[in-house]
Amino acid sequence: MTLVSSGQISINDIRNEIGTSDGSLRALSSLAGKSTPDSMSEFYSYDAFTYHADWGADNPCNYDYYTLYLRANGVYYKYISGVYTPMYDYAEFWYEYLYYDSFFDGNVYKEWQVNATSTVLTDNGDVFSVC
Amino acid sequence: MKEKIQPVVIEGKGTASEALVEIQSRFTTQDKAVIYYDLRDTTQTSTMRRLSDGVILTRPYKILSYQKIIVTGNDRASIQADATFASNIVFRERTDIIKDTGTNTAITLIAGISYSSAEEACLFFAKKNTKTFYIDNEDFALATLITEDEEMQTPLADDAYISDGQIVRYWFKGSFDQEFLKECR
Repeated sequence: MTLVSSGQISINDIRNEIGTSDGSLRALSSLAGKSTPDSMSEFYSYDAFTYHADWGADNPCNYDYYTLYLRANGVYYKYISGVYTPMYDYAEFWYEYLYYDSFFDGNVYKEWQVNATSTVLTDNGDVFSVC
Repeated sequence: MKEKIQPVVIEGKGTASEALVEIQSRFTTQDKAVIYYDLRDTTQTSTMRRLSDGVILTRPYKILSYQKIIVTGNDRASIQADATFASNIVFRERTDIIKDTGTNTAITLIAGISYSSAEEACLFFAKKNTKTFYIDNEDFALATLITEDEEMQTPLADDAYISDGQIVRYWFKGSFDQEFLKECR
């Protein structure tokens, strides 16, 4: 969903990319991590989604893994085939693979819990699973 | 890639203090490798929850830190220049292992059409006459890396075969399950 690299960009284009319904150019630039002075041209080729991680949804044994992105509006999304979906809308619990534990003969994951607005990830600690 | 690790004493060999990870020279922008490593204190313990039943397990170590390095084909230049990675990481190309990305070919074993030997399939592969190879010959079951799928319908990835650019080889399982490389001739 990257913005165009040349030509006209409207304030609404930037809002749509960032995922906010309002906000001045300064507010949008701030969300995008850009310093003053502000300019619309700073948003040429701007992509509001930054890579966050590759985690499994709901249960690591489901092998339901997604690439996750953090949008400039602070919302975490899962991405697949051109479609971004807020993480919570798909699953509340997510699993980050850490390592194989030879002592217990299984995989160790970090369990993450996402809040209802998909803006906060809480570390629930390490979990062990054999699939 | 060499990464400093927590020293590991290997009996009769000495102490290992580096982990070595090697990448294929034709690592493409479509490829991604995730390298995991952690630092453990084996004088401490830590707990984790077993997902299936919630039981708390005690590990005989504590993870002090962990790190993931994600490497894609786009990183190859910096990897080789050792530019954007930690100073104790050195990447070295494995020019002796080349993934055959040119054809993206894999051989699939599907029952119904018979060929005489793994060598024959290998020859087809080498000549790039086919992207899918159909076979139900018993000999092929010994060519373990052609397919592992029980239904024999899922081709293995490219690394089922390695090539030096001239000769295509395949893994062959001999008696007592030892595996060795065999050349396509």
